[in-house]
Formats: sequence, C-alpha cells, structure tokens
Amino acid sequence: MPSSIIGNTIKNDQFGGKPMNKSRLLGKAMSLLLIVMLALTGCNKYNQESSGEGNTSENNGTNASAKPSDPNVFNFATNQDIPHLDPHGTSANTSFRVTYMLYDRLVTYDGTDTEVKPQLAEKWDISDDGLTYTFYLNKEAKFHDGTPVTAEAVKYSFTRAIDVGKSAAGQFKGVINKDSFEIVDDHTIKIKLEQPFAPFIKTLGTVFGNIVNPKLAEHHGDDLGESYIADKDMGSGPYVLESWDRGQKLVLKANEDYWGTSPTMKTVNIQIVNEPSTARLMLEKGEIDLIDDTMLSPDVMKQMEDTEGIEIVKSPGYAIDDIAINMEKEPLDNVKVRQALAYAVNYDSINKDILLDAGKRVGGIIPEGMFGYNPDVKLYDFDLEKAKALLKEAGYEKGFDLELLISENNEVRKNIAVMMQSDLKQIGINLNIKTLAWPTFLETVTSGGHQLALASWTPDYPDPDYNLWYFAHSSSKGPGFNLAYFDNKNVDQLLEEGRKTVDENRREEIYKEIQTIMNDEVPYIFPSQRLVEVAKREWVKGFEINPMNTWYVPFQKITKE
Amino acid sequence: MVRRVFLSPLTMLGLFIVVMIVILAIFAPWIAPNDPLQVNLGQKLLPPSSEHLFGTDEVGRDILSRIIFGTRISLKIGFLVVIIAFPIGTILGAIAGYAGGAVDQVIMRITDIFLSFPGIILSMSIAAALGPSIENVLLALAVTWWPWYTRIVRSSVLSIKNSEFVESARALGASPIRILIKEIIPNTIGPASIQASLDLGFVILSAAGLSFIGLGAQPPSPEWGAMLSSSREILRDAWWSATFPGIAILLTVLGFNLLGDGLRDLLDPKNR
Repeated sequence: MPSSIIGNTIKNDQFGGKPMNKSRLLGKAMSLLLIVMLALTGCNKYNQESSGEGNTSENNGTNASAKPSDPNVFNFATNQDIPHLDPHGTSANTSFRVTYMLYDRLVTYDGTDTEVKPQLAEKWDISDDGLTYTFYLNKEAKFHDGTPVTAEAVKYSFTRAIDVGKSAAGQFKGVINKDSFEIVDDHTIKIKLEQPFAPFIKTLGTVFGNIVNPKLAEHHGDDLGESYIADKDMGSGPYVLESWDRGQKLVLKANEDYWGTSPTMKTVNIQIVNEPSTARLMLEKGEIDLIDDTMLSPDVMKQMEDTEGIEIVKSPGYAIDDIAINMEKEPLDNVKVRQALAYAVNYDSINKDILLDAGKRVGGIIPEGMFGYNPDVKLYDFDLEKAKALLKEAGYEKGFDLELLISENNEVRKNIAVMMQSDLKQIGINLNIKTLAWPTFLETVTSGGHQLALASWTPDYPDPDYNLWYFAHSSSKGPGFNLAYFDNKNVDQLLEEGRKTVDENRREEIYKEIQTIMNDEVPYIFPSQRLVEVAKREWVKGFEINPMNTWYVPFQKITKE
Repeated sequence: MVRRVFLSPLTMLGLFIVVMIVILAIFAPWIAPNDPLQVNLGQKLLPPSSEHLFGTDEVGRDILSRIIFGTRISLKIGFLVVIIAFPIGTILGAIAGYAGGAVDQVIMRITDIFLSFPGIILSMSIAAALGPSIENVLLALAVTWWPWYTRIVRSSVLSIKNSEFVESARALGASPIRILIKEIIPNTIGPASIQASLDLGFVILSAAGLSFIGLGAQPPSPEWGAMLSSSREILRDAWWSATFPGIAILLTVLGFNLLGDGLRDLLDPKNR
C-alpha cells in the first residue's frame, strides 16, 4: 500500500512542476523511513489495542505467567475463518470445532479415545447380519429450546443430511438412505443398512452425525434451511451460540440446562487471529489460552518451549502428509518413475530437520496405531543412486520437468517442497513449485490439473476403509480425493469386499494387502505421520488431543487453574 | 550540467547505490559466496557469522547469496516493466495529445479507467487471476504503469503542439506521423524518462509486495519480498532472516529515487 501512495505523490509533483530542491529530497527520504517505522509500530499498536480490549485479563503483562485472570473464560485463537455453522453442510475444520460443541450425536468421541462412546444413545444393539442397528435414546436429553431429543429428531437429522447432499451425505452414501429409518417409539429408533458396513457406528460419532432440532423444518425455505441455520444453533450440546462477529470472534456460552455435565468454561471465545506471530504474542501475554494446532510451525514451537507459563503438548496423531502422483500424466504413468520419486525423498531429513521430530516415517495412508496398519510394508529409503537407476530403466535418463502444487501459508509444506526440489535436481528432474490459495489448490487437484500435489489427510473416523476408499478406489478419482487417479481392479475389489466383511481378522488382511499393492505401485508418497503439536498456557488442564479429530478442542472438559 | 550532478551528494549516493546493485546483479555468480538454492537443513537458521555473513534461512540457505542473486530478479522486473510500459504510454500519449478530438477522448478515458483503481489493487487482481509467477507480476505491473506516461506525454505534447518548429514542419508538408516521430516525441520524452527512472524503484517495491503476499516469485526463487514473507513467522527468533532482505529493498528503492530526483533536477527544463 505505501508504494502506491508514494507513487501518486511523486506523480502529482510532476504536474505541479515545482522544482524539487534538496531539502524536499531529504524530506522524501525521511518520509520513506517514516513509513517503514509506521509499519513497524503499527504491529505493536495492534497488539496493545487487542490487549486493552481484552475481555479476559484486566492487568496482563506484569503477572502474565502466574494465574489466569478469569478461570471460567477460555480464549482460543485460530487463523482459519469459520465459513458457516450448518451441522450437515460444512467441511471446514473450524466449523466442526464449533458444531461439535453445539450439537450432540448418537455416539461421540471422547478424549484420546478413537472408539465411540454413548452420547444421545444410551445403548444400541446390532443384529447378527450387521444390517440393523437399534438405538435407545437418553430420555433426559433435550434441545436448547427445551424440547426433548426424540427418535423423530434423529430421523429428521439423517434425512436432512442426506438431502442437503454436502459433506455429511458422502459418508452415508450407499450405506443408508431416507427409507432406512424406523421409529419404534419416542426414544427408540431402528436404522437398516443397505448393505453391511462394518464401520457404520464409527461414522455416527463424526460431525456428520450431528442431531439437529426438527423445528428447523419450519425454516426450510428452498434450501433445507441451510441459509437459516448458517449462523444459528439448534442443537442439544453443552454449549450455545452466544454471538458471532464474522471474521473476528465467535463466542460460545455454557448450556446451564445441559442434560449431561455442564461445562466449567462458562464462556469460550474463538478468536480469528490472522498472523501467527500475533497469536504467539497473545499466548505469551496470557490473552490466549490455546492456539490452533495448524497455526504455528515446528520452528516456532521449538522456540516457545522454554517460555515460562507456556506448554507445548505433543501427542500421537493420525495425520499423514502425502504427495499425490497424478498417474494419468506422463511420465508419471510409468511405475519405475514413481518408484524413482519415492527413492528421491529424504524422509529422515523431513522428519528430523523440518518437522523437528514431530513426525515419523509411515509406509502408507493407514497411520500407525489405527486398525489395519501394516507395519511390514517395505519403506523406500532415500537413495538417489537407486532413483537414478530406475529412471534409466524407464528411459528417462536425461530427466524431465515436473510441477509440484502446494497451498499457501504453510511453511512446512513449502520447506518440504524446496528440499525435494534440491534433491530431485541431482537425478535430473527439474521440479517447479507452484503455490496456490487453498480453494484454487482444491479445485486444481480435484479436476486432475496437477502432476504432483502435497497435502495431508486426517481420517474422520478410525477405520482403514475411510482412508483407503478415498485414496485408492477408482470411483473416488478427483472430487472423491483419489488425487493420484489410481485405478486398480484388484484394489477396487478388495475395498468393496472389506466394506461388506464383518469378520475383523479378514478385514485386517484385506487392508494390509491393499497397502502392499499401493506400496509397489506408488500412487502416493508418504513423507510423514505427524504428531499433533499444540501450544497452550500451562494453566489449561484437561486438554486431550484426539489423534484423528485434531481440530477437536474439548471445551466442555477443560478447566483453568 | 555535469557539474550539477557532482554537486548533489544525494544524487551521488543514489548513483553509487544503483551502480553497486547493477554490479552485484551482473557478477552475482562470482560475488555470492554460496549457491543461493542449495538446501542444507543441517545449517538452518544460523545467526550471522564469518561463514554466513547474513546468516542462513529456514532451510539452511545462505541469506547473503540469496540477496545478491535477488538483485537480478528485482532489476529484471524493474527494467522490464518500465521498458514495456514506457513506449506504450509514450506513444498513446503523443497520439492523444497530437490528434485531439475523439481519439484524445477515447485514449484518455481508457487511461482514466486504469488510473481510477489504486495501482497495487489492480496489479494484485491481475496477478491473482493469472496465477502466481514472477512473469505474471511483471505483466500486471506493466499494465498498471503505462497510463502515467500517457498523461505526462500528452500534457507535454499539448504544450508544444502549436509551437513554431512544429508549425514549420507542418508548413513544409511533413506527414503527421513524421511530425510525431521527428518533432514531437523527441521533445516530450524528457519528463517521461525522468518519471521512468523514478518508477524503477517503485516497480521493484511493488513487485516485492506482490511476492510478499504470495502472488509473485515461487520458491525457491531468492526474491526479496518472498524472503521477507517466509521469515515473518520466525522474525522474533531469527531477526537476520527478515532484516537483510528488508534492508536490500530499502536501499534499492532509495537508490533509484535519489537518482531519479537528481535526474529531474538535471534534465527537467522547467527546473532550470
């Protein structure tokens, strides 16, 4: 901005035709300096202002690291804006974080556990053929307006999710449809599956299984109430929506009449702080209790480790970084070329030097710790000689150009990309890096416009079917997130068999076999399975990180002391 | 004339900075101590030392070498944008001023449309639409820069259009094109070229700005704005990663401005 302002002034002087003497020249040099200084002080001013309006701490700075000023107010910072709050229509993690608090589900994920626990459903039966699920609802549960949560509400919620046809519907496609529900009585509901689907119960604990007040039907309009509910809450969860200043702050208030345990944190402020360094400063001052895990890079986390009053929590995660290799593009359709690429990635350096040990090697898209993980797949080691030999065998001795897409504002991905570029140059591959804004990135990769794309993946529920169906089934190509455009009949068949199989041992075999095939075919390269790293104040207690729902902050369980 | 250049110390300073930068750009491979693209993660974020005078960045590249190679990118953008925008603006301005009437109206209204947007916003939208790359930044800046020259040249043309030497050329039967090329443009190019020398600095600053917000240079390019951008998160722990690229931008813009102002004192006939 300053550039255009200065630019105009000079040009106006030109028309004025006044002689510019030396003192004016000096003045201009000074004004340039002034602008630089203004820019610098501007940052400070912002921080001071935000601390002044701080609704939590009246007197911070002097005793910032000692005690929280208000033990019942929780301040969370993220740099990702919240698009909307439709419980069935959003696919943004920042929205999930809020809707998971506003709504309850039949079952839920709690703490670090990746198995579901009862929530609205006190208990459930599964028929022997794995087709019929009967849920018995908690009779105490009621929505925020006081009406009880009934079987009717459950039916309404799933029907709406399917009708809305957005993120939630994808989870249920081919598993349940609008005719799957049978209301037995007010608090009992039967759900009949189209075909056996072993991980069904796990899908109900995700945000897509949110139960919404059927009164929403009165506001359906012609978009099933999507625009109506986008900034409202019609749930039964531990928090209600207090206020929402878009792009600035969303405030949650504890639901005092909650049918479960009412939360300690009476107020939760979710603040949008765009600049990571600002968020860090606010955390150090005690104005923020917890920062979104995706916001700070490992380098910054490391620097913060010794700061008094701040704790860096590291915890196992199911997030896996992946490089999708578009197999429909030459020369990537050649398996030898893909294997050569896999040998040309310096995995150890990524995990040790870029991630600073907040990640480890993994052989496929099933993370270690999850059901179906195959520890026996052969890992590709960093071996440029082997890579060169494979390229020679494939007939690409002279090398070629490749393009790698990354999304902006992600230091780790940028550094991985730059490192790969440096290594690939040694085997004759000229790697061009292209940084795109996230929406453009998504659009490009889901329409197959990429050669290589670096992204990461976290499952919403802990079943290998989830990861592998998205990554490997031929029907998932493009928008379904098979970004390698991997098409393998054998894998397709195995995946379809795995969905229908109820026997856990057989399922495990199937998923391990798929990982072995993918390891040979190399549709993807997996640089790292990440630890979840979060920066928080030491006074925050009861904060547990779920390895899959890394966006999930259990506000209802947290205390400050 | 020559004496006045030597008498202005600020102009001399500007000239000195610009000459130094041009020398750095031309001889970058021989001057730079290291390969600006060589990643060395074992040496990431080292503070300035005798081995790395300006320290190393987040993937262990030598910042001094990157800044030296960065001069090439900045100068390339600065000169190319002016070289593209200058002739376009000059020719359009001369035609508008000389022809007058409807032609003048059409050209000047189009110019006004471009000038009514803040330049940086217009370049941002063009660069964003074309996709991030240094070539697109170049194009975007050229598109936003030409109207200034059109205006300057047009006003100069208006003031000399009816002067005696133009009249006499016309009386001798010279064609309008000949009059434009032989008589008018040579006599109006002075103010526009001063503007061009001033603009060099601002083009470089704008390009760095666009790269800073991610619309310009792509990694691993040692572009100063991109270097600033990637160091802003670690600024507090590694001051050198942002400070030196920042100083490089400051000095370059300052150098071109001081030189441009000096040239104006020297060449602009109105200032005599």
